[in-house]
Amino acid sequence: MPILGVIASSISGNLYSASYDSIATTTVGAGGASFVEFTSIPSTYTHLQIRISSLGSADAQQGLNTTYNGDTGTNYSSHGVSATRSSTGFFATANDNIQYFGFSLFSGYPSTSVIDILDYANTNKFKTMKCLTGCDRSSAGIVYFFSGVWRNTNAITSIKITPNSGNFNQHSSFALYGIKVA
Amino acid sequence: MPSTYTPIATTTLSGSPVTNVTFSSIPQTYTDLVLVSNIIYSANGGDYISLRFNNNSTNGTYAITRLTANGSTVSADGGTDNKMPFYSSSTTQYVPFVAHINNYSNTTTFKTALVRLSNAGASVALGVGSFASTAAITQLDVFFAG
Repeated sequence: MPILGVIASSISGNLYSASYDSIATTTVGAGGASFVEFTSIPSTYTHLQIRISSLGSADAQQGLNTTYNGDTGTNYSSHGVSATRSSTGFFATANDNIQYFGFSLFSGYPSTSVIDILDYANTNKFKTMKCLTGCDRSSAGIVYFFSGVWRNTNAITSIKITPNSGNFNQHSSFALYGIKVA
Repeated sequence: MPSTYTPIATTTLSGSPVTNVTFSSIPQTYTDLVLVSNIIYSANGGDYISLRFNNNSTNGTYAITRLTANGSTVSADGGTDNKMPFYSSSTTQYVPFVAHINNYSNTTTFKTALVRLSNAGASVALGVGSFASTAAITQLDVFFAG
């Protein structure tokens, strides 16, 4: 069943037709969740995309991060550029044990994230990702563009998504897609 | 596995410029919406590429935050509005404008739109907007506004 709709202006034909598959979806239930994890990710795609609509357990800014294949070693680096309504900013970590992809998790207004992980199954190179994420809460907002690297050549078979503090609230939704390139 | 990236509707303008492109009767059977557009401005109306949902023009229902870089400066702005005005448009360059609206059909949470776009002759921008309504999104309007 198709689950991702596309509205296109000035485009004809299909986008990613027959090459953009749903691998797994998770919606957080009552009680919340301290993390969401996709496991047993098949290596049959070219790229992965994670699409998130998430709510935090507190109306205070929280970070969002991923780890791959259960690796909690200091093998991750992240860089980001951001904007609030009044200022721009930047962020970087090196040799961290988590990979940040945003600091836009709040309660009440959902944070939206689209993470692309390229060549995730290639065993000859480190894994890189990019992420567009943000949350606007009427009284304030923040938007980020992130990049990250996991210095490991293993194929990614599991992805754990965790808020830096607190939990994901119920109604948070996470979807993992596989993209095949002809 | 089946394809999960499915076109719902497409519109290509020809002839006279229009003030508004409306996608209505959006089915509720998907997880997310992605708007993929390539827009040029006719200098006939406002000058921000804007989004509006469900024909709701209530002031304060929408809010946005924008990041723009033009080659020499990076700027940030935003605020509340009766629409999501994301970017100053161009009359000389087509502006690729992609909006992600995740979880658009749920009736429990407010809605968030993530936008990335560029004007090859001037700048690149990111944006996030909120639509403070728990109603499922059934209509999307794309238009220019000041």
